[in-house]
Amino acid sequence: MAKELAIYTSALTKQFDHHIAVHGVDLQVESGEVYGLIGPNGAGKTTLIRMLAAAEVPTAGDIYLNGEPLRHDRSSATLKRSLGYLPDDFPLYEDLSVWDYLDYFARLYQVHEPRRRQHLWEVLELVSLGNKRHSQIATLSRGMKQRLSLARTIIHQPILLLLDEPVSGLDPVARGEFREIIKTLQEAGMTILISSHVLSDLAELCTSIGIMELGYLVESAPLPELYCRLGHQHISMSVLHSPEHLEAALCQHPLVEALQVLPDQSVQVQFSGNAQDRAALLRSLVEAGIPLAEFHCTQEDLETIFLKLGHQQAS
Amino acid sequence: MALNGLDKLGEWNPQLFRELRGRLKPRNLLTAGCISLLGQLLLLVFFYSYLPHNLTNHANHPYCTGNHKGMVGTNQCLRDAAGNLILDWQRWWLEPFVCLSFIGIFALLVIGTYMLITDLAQEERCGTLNLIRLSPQSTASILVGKLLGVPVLLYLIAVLAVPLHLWAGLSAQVPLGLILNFYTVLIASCIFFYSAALLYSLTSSWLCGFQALLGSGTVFIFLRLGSSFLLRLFGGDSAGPTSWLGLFSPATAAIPFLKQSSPGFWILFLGFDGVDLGALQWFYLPLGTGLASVSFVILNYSFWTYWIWQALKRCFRNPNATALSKRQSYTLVACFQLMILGFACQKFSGNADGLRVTDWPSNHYYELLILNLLLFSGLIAALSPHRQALQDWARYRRIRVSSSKSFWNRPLVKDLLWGERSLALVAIALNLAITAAILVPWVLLWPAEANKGQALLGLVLSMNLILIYAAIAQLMLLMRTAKRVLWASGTVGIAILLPLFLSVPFIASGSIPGLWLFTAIPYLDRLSATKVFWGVLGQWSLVGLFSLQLTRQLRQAGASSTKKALLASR
Repeated sequence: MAKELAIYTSALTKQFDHHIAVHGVDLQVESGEVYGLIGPNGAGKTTLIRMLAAAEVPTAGDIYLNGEPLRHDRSSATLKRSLGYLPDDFPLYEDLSVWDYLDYFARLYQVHEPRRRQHLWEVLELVSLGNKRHSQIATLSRGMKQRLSLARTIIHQPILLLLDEPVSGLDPVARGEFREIIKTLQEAGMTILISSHVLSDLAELCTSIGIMELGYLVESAPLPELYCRLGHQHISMSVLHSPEHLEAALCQHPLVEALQVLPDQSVQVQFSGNAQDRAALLRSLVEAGIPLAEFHCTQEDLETIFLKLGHQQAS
Repeated sequence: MALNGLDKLGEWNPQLFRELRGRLKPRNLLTAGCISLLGQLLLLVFFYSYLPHNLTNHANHPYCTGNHKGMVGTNQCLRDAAGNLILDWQRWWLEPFVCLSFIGIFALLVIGTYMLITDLAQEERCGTLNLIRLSPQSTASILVGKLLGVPVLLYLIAVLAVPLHLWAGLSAQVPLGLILNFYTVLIASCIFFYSAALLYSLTSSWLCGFQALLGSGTVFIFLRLGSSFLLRLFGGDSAGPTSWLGLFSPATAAIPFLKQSSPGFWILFLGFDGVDLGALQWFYLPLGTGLASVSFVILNYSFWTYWIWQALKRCFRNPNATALSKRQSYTLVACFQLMILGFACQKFSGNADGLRVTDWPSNHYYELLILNLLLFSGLIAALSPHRQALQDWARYRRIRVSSSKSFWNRPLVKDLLWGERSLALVAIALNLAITAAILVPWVLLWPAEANKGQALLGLVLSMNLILIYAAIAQLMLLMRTAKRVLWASGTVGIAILLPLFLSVPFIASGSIPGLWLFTAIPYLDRLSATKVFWGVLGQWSLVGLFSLQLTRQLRQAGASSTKKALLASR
């Protein structure tokens, strides 16, 4: 049976004056997925997320979250409780302590005692801010503030998380910590939609990727499918003797798109198959008696795919 | 214990909990307590210094108990058997009592509104208001939390002053019922003004740093000058529709104290006036001075507070929404007309010979026009959608297709009459029709000697101009500039005020009577019927022109970007 859709949008459009920020987006995110939204600045990611969070009224189109229609000002309290939204500017009450801030939002989201206290501790532990609970927010570092904002987003245990650029401006260590938190949340069963410019992070975290360009969702697919379909694999091989036999064998293989013999006698192959195809290629070469000394595969990363695809589709 | 109480309060209203948590800190509590107690002490010392201390300096004094002598309000000072001055303590206590009452009114309303506007504006600026908006809490719960929590230190200062205020009142022999009436009215006025402050703050973020000062400044001016100025200017000593404005001043409930008080220095100093409820009638029913009048004041506050909350509910969740829906506006306008018309129906009780010309109901005609101008100015602001909403409407309204052939069921007609994002012009016109439906029968019921025809023509001219203002505002709100609200309010403001200011100097000379045709309060005494006819025709032409321009601009806005690009490439 197909998984239930956590997010479903149909022809979702947002127009600001003459600028169409989001153009007829049909988005489908399955429950339990970590969906990464990528695109250049001004592609419409933030506007799309804001509409999903009911912070922006769509000009046209429909949004369904967990099967329930989202109406900007008339959504049910249950639907609002199932949503966690972290905006890119992560607003905070600087005058409050960490504990009071989270306690306030837990109350806003109707988390009652004795569950509330327990949740607060759990969330503070998760974002590693337990020892800072009495500190005033104004005194925290940027990384801590961002983690606190994430804690605020999950304090009511939403089933759908919308994270808009959650790691922007963080150093690599803080980003790593953030990644770990998101992995934990995914393991807890939350559906997460995350937008970011740090594509390596998304490649590590996401199960599916959506690419936005000029307001259009130009691509949306599970990450492995995206790699398979759009990302080239490069296999570098070297043999003990001259590479003529290898070259001849590779030329006949249907999944080899291009090959190049490098000055050091190694061969660079652009390959379009999947892991099984790769294994079959290796087996066939060995069976053909080619004395392989090296067989190493590299995959085009998300950034390359994005750079190729985003501009191509939009233009 | 206190923490437990706060915790329980937080379960009921998290927003109130947050506000109290942030404000009720020992240092703040101490400061508030000191301000209140020191202020009360200073007030008592100040009035104590006015007491006569010996006969050498004070042979006569307002607080002495002897026969009236010398200046108005002063009495001869007498001594008791022990040689001490016999003082009228009842009269003395009245002064700090009334003074505290007025300080309470000003502090609570002016400072309270300032605090609320600033707080909400700051939350909007920081982005935290958006997070609260998205929570499952109801609008009412969040805004009640703000209303009770943000001015909490001000409440504390006021509550600490209540014992002295009560003591002073009872010592001055003011009946406890009157004092309680005053508290009730003060609380109702706080709810009204604070709700209005919240609405103002949500809808006027374009004023930026000027927002709080302008808001609380307006409240101050209204309390200090507004009601009394309007009453004197248009109503003279008699009651009329503008007396309704005075009902919004909590000083109204303090009037009985004023009457009892000596002509103290502070009345002159404050120059404060209110509405004498005893002289007021509503549809010929006297409001009286007792519980009935206070109930009327409370009802008036409750009624308008209800409408403010309707607007708050809309604007809080969606800051881009119009403050009122078109449907709501029709009810509001009908209620408003009935309310002010009630004050235009005052029964003359002075001259036994019959009705004097000055006592005709037509005497209140101009007051009604002024109040309607104020109402419709607000209504234009509350109903006119901005550029984005209009563009969305113009572009996507065609998606909703109706098979109905009937005129009233056509999508465009429905949109213009009830729709959320459509033009406000038709709704304003319908509201004007509702106004006319209520005011025209009233004019027709005037005595035969009154100039009914002129009044009806004036009504037509005034309504046409209001429609023109609405069209101008809508055109300005369609402009491609970030400051379109400023442009709209500025242009409409000039269109309303400039002809008025120019007309007034020429009333006496009558040199340019035609100027009155350009004001929403037309004074037609010196204008010929032909001129008025041409005036009406001119106004209709303007309405037509503006409507055409609006339609053209909306068509442009509604055209798709692709179509525009294609046209441009040709």
